[in-house]
Amino acid sequence: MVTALILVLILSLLSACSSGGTSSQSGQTAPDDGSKCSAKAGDLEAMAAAALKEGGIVSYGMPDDWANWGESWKDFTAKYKITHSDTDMASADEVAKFLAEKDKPVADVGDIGIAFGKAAKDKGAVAAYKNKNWKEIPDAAKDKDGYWAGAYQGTIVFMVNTKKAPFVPKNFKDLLDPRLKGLVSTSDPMTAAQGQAAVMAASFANGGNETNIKPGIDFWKKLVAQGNYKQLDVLAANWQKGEVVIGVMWDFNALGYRAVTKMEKDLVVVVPQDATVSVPYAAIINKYAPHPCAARLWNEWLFSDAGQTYLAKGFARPIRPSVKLPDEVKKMLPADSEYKSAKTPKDWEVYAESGKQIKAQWEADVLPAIK
Amino acid sequence: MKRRDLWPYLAVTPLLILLLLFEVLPAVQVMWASVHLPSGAFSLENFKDVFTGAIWQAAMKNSFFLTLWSTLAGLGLSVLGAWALSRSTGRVREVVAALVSLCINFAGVPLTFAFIILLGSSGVVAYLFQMAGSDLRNHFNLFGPSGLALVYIYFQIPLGIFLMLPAFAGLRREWEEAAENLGARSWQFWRYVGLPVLTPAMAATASVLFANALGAQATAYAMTNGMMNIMTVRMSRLVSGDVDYEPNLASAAAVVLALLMVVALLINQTLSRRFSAYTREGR
Repeated sequence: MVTALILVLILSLLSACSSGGTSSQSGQTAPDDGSKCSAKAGDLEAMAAAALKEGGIVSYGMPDDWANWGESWKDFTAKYKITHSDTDMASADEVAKFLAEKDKPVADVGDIGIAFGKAAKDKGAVAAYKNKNWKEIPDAAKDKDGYWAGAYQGTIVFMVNTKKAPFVPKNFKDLLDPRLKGLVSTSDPMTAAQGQAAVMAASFANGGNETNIKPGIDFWKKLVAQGNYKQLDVLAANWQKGEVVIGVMWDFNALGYRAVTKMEKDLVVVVPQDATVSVPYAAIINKYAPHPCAARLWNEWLFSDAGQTYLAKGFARPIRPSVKLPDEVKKMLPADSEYKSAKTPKDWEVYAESGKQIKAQWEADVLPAIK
Repeated sequence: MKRRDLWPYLAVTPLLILLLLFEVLPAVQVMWASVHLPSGAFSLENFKDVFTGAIWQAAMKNSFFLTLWSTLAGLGLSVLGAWALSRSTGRVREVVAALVSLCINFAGVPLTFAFIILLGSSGVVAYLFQMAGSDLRNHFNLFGPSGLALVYIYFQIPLGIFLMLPAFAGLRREWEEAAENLGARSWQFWRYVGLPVLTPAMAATASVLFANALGAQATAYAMTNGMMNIMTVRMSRLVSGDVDYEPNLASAAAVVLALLMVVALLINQTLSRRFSAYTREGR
């Protein structure tokens, strides 16, 4: 018995040591053109018929509880009578898997951080498709050739516990008010995209942009020196405990936490009026999609009024400005007019690079000052 | 060798195997990993990063001072506590002693939660401040280094008392009475008899408290969701996060932490040896 146990222990140790994990990934792009949908682009009826024949659709990185994907997929599959399954994974993994599986493709569509869009296109992992609502997507949120397009966006906002905050800050510079001592939190910019975006937003609010992040770093450094920073992650549990009082965070997280903690009465969501940052999430179609028509049909669905409304219900703000949301959905989000101050970075490669810069500078400049 | 002499060795074998598997092998692996890059090449790069990186320097500083202050304060308070406990009798002593041994195991997430309901922004003390027309957050931040130091001191005290109690038991009442009869004042007794007798135990206790605080991770991690910049938290993020997965760098930090501990123990040992040598001469 004991020997068996020890044997198991040794084996598990050995296997833990040997899990080096080499990802096989072919560097060059294949000369083939990938899979094509026979139905004419934008002809929804023909596409639906072809999709029905294909029978199913598979996605990567679109779990049910994110951006209301669950409900959207449910109604999509009911409408077109096809099946769907998803495997959740990180943006970089989606692109890598599209390429790695190209001879035996599995997934048709994915949802990635927009900064990964260019790499996906350059590596030849994604197919170009311009849906019927293409023109309405802002230029900064789409690839001009149609290889990726932002379907929804997150914006950095303040969520404020009005029961505990002495006043509700409306601008980034309000966060420096001495009355807010020990009350301002965000996620760790060294590990979380949310924290990095909070620095980026502060940069935009103080005259910087995605290339020049110094104003953002300087702002947080000042906030820390002032004693206003509270080093605590802006998780739902910390809102519930009342420990996080002012959180600088994504609007979809803020609105989601507010609903989940049932603290709608106490928590208000404010879009910083001096400036903030909006970052879209991009929809992509696998170049080698096994169900090419279903993939394109989903893309049409996603950018249609219905698809955009599903996203809004999951607190993911639709990318198309013209979408008319039902009143009960509209009430769930801050008013469009409040979002006028939100800036969308123009160069996503630079944006991704800035994330690393923010991490390094937070490490070197801000962190040592935390008291 | 007689057959029955083998039994003790046989009995200790499972323990030795456990030690080998969970202490020795991991330690060897950590040391090996610390001098290699993820590629497998030998390199001292990891150590260079730990010693020159601003974040590591800050983490080392934070860890060191957190440990030092919590050890000194914890030692002082637990000496007083052990003294009081050794002089008390009956029911009080029993209850307090039971409480002390219970508190030794009170750490990590439950301890953090206890402090949050006491000193957090919705905590009891915060409300008392509010009732007095003031605001706790203007005076104290539980989630900063000073708050963490307080929590650390809290978990050091019961351990310190537990370790100091036997020493006080060895400090016999008769000595104090004898000193009194010979005309010594209370401070003279403590200066020339009490403290010298207690010193070796205090030094040993300080070592254990130092190691206890330097190696603590769960409490600090739970408190700030891993945002507190101390060595152990920094290391755990390097092996569990999905953003920075750098086990080799974490290994180098672990080796540095272990060295820091060894140096502290050596200093402690030298000092206490010198001190006890001095008291021997004085006799």
